[in-house]
Amino acid sequence: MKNPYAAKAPQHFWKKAVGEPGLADIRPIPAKRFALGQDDVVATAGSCFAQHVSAHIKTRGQVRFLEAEEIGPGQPPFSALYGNIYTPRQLVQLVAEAYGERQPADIAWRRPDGRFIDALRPSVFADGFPDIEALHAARRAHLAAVRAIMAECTVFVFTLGLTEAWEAVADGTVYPLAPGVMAEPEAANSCVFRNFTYEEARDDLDTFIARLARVNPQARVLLTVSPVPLTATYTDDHVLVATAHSKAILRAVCSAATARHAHVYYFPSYEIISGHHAAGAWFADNLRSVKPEGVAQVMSVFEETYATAPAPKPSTASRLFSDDDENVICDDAEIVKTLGF
Amino acid sequence: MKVLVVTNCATAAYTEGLRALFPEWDVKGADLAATRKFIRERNQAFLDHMASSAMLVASLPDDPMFDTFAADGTKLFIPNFLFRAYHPDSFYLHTGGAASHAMDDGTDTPTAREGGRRQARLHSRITVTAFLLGMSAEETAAAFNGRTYEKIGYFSVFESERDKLLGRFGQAGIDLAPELERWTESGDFLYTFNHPKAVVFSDILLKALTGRFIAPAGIAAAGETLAQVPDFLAGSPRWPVYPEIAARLGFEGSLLWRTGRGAGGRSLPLAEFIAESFASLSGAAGFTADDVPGFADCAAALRS
Repeated sequence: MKNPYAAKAPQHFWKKAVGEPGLADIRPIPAKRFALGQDDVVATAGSCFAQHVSAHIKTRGQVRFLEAEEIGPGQPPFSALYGNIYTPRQLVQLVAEAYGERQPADIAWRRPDGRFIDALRPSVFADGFPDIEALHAARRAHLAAVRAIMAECTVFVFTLGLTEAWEAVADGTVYPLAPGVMAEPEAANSCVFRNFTYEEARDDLDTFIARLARVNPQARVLLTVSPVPLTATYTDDHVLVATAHSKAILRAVCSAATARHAHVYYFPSYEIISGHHAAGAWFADNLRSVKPEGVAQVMSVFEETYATAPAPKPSTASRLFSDDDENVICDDAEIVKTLGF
Repeated sequence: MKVLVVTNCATAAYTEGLRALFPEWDVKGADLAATRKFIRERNQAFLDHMASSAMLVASLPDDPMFDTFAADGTKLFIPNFLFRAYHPDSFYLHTGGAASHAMDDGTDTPTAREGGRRQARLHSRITVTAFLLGMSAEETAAAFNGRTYEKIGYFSVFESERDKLLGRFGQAGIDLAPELERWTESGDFLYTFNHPKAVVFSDILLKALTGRFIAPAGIAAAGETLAQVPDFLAGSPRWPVYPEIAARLGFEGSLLWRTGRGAGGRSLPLAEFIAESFASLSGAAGFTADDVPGFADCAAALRS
């Protein structure tokens, strides 16, 4: 048997793809990709790094950035005012709430100044809300925007950030921030720490992908993992170890989803920034924040990936078979039509 | 517990399967066309059952027709079954006016597109293309061979059909990979590309219920119970798996069609099938090459 690697392209060899090129020329274009076109409507959500992705897509011009709510100055520039969504569980719960399938019990937390924050998006409204009614009214409008995003997007970009979270004991609602950071829930000990396992994160992401596909079968999902390390861990591990644990799970979950679903893709912003090939060059002095140059490098590879992806060649099956086949309603006289009525 | 089953031709299999597994449940079923008729005509028995059901088993669970289903009820989403790898030559031809059909007796898998007046009937792509090209019945029969299938691409659709099937059910949280492997190893498990044999519906129902109503320890017993559910599609038309295609799938195929039970369950060898197809196409109205998916590839293969 001949050496099977002999047929592989240069990007598959470390020396050619990483060892020899300069840092800016290390460009891990994913093999599984698609062309972002003028007809695409892109929605974004995710952790803080996703804000950079959002900001870039928003100014890109060649696609329509979906903004289902008016995003004011200083508010996270996602497609709606959900703020940072760090975990797949948070995303699943938001969508379930948007479709009336769950009602989080405790989201109005009082700040020290007496105003209220929406605990599910604590950093979105700097002034908070004067009362609980105003908070819920804003949330109802927000949930309508989430439904619009689900229905209208052609590409949903989600950046996974954390496995660690705090959840309500009463109903499992997952919060993006720990209690007490910006405001406190009324009841003491109402929240517990959760560190989602690989299986939990994978299943949550699958649940979201399935939910989106039911509402909007044409939408693609583009996953990324935030390269920003944990600012703190509540586990007993060193924060460096906890960060590696969390990112490894999220990264593996992305691969599981892309392997399982033809319409789910992964973009390696995590590898570009935090890979040891960069020797930390894309991080600021605190070794946590990503420098603007790092963001620019990610977006440069992003452009090369999605602006130049070849238009998909129609497969044999897509030429031969009609999408309508699934919708044909059998009307065979021999088939039982009703049972019990 | 009251349960409502609304899906396509799997309605009877899922309804009877649930009744067999859970005799204490009140399970009723209606296919999509019947359900729309019930709702349109405000059928009170149907509406009452839907409103009081604790679970809806459906292929379109979010369809507005289920708006009156209880908000706190359980929706069990089971997508429609569709797997065209064994019968890549068959397709639904949408025509205007009178029904046309490959087996031309008006009772075999007559289908109608939702909300439209056009008829959709199963036909052979090779036969319809040959008809449009003006080929004779003999020339058409001679085209049913591996060389033609290869040129059209019939040998290269298995992977994408498998991925589509697994993807469609994966969206419902139903992983059919091991089941599909078992079905394909068993040989021809389909009557037509959207009418599988009973074992398929039983396996799908079992998978959909496992973890919710069936514990892992109960899977074997539930499987045995479901094996007793009748094959409701056994009397529907059968499309053959062509020999060259079947050989690549590991079993023996044929060129012998069979009409549905309502049309006498007649067997049609290739020559008769083509003759009846041509006769029905001659009487059909309003279809062109645009109504034949893959016409260009097929025409090129037939001309070469």
